[in-house]
Amino acid sequence: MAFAGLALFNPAKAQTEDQDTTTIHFIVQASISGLQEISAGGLAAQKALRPEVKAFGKRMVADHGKAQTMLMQLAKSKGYQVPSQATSPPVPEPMLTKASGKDFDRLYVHMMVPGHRQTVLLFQNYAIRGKDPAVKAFAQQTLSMLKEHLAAITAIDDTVKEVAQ
Amino acid sequence: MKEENKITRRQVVAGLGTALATVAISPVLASSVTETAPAGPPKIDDPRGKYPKPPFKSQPQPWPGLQSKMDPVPDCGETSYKGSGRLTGRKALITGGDSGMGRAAAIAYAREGADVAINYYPTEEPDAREVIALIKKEGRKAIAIPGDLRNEAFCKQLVQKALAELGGLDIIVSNAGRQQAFSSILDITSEEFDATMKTNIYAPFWIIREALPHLPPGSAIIGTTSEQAYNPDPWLYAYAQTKAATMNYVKSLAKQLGPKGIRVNGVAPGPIWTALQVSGGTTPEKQQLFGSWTPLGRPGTPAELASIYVQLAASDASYANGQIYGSSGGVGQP
Repeated sequence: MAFAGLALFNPAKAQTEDQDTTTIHFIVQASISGLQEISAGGLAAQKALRPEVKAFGKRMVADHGKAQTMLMQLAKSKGYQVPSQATSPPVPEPMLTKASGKDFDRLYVHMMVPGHRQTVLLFQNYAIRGKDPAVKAFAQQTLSMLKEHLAAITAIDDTVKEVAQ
Repeated sequence: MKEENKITRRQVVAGLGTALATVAISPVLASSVTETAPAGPPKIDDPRGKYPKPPFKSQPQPWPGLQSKMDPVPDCGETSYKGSGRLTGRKALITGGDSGMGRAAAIAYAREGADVAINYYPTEEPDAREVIALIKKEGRKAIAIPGDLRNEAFCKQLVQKALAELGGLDIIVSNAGRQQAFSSILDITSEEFDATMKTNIYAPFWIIREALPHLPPGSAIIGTTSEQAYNPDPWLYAYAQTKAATMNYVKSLAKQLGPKGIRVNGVAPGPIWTALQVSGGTTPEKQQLFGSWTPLGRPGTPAELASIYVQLAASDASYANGQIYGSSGGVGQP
């Protein structure tokens, strides 16, 4: 009886998938992950001990920097409102800023592998299911670059054998 | 306690719906029911937009972190929780009572009529001061007992001090937790692993063991576990296993203590926006997107779990023993 009364006041609203919301969610996630890559990559370019880790860091700054610019231009041209929390450069990760030498390399490489895996999945998902054609094209283009990053960092990860002391 | 008083109080707390149900019960009750039944459309909240959604600012803090410095500051029910005498005269010790769910429980308990002692790590003093003030505002005893739970001697002192200053103890909320995210087990030092075990597994053991001889029948012990106990994230190897241990000790102790009239239960939150999440408890990217993966599209806020801690402590939940009550926005178990 009580529930029937409820139904009169609040008819259930079916949840419809809003194409723009989904696209904005993708842009927000892509932006945050890109900016985090740039931040961590910058630290690696500065502090990494191994030359290949340093080089990887530099590459992250360059590649994700370009992708981020494209993404923001795309968002602006389509009129998508992206919250500033998703577009401001993040505070550098404390675990990385505090580490040095071999410890830094180990922590950075270990963070990058799952991070890149998740980014590839994020872009892959939108590249397949995305509704906005321009954003979908961006996801598809960027995906091959991300897969190369993942392959590179996975190869480096295989050579990092140190353990925390 | 009179039956009609219980129903009237529940009506006041629940608002709509119960008015229709209670009319059917008895003509004697009907008159008191219609006097207090609220009129007008039902007051319900859409859970989706009720509390802040991601993305959040990148805002790392050094451990253990202060919630007063978070953006946004977690809502622990400071302005919203309304009590109804559910814990009148009870005496509670809450670890991690300065912020997050411990704080929400402390505020709720005070508003429900209990005296409360809170424990917290000494550097969390600024957050703790706010909670002490809120408890005192309700006219209840508020005891602050800062200290390091990783120390057995301190855990014993904590219980003794709470007993002495509260004049007894009948609710223990073992809620304080250490949560640190590491992409790889290779990055976890023995020191870090030990700190997590001491805080999350040893401290509850030391505290409950010390308090037990003083807990009367009808007492309630509540442990904060997590959805991580059932389906852990790969970057929470150390933390998640302690939550599984918590879930498990709730059940074994419930069996041990049930015959003594002491109920032991657990609360398993999903992603809740607390100081844990900005002081190394999750990955930097997930901190900014916290809760985005849940069906409600946002993290929980501590105020949303306060009523669970009240429910498990209250005497009318007398059959709950060895239970784990979840609150996760739709993800995971239980």
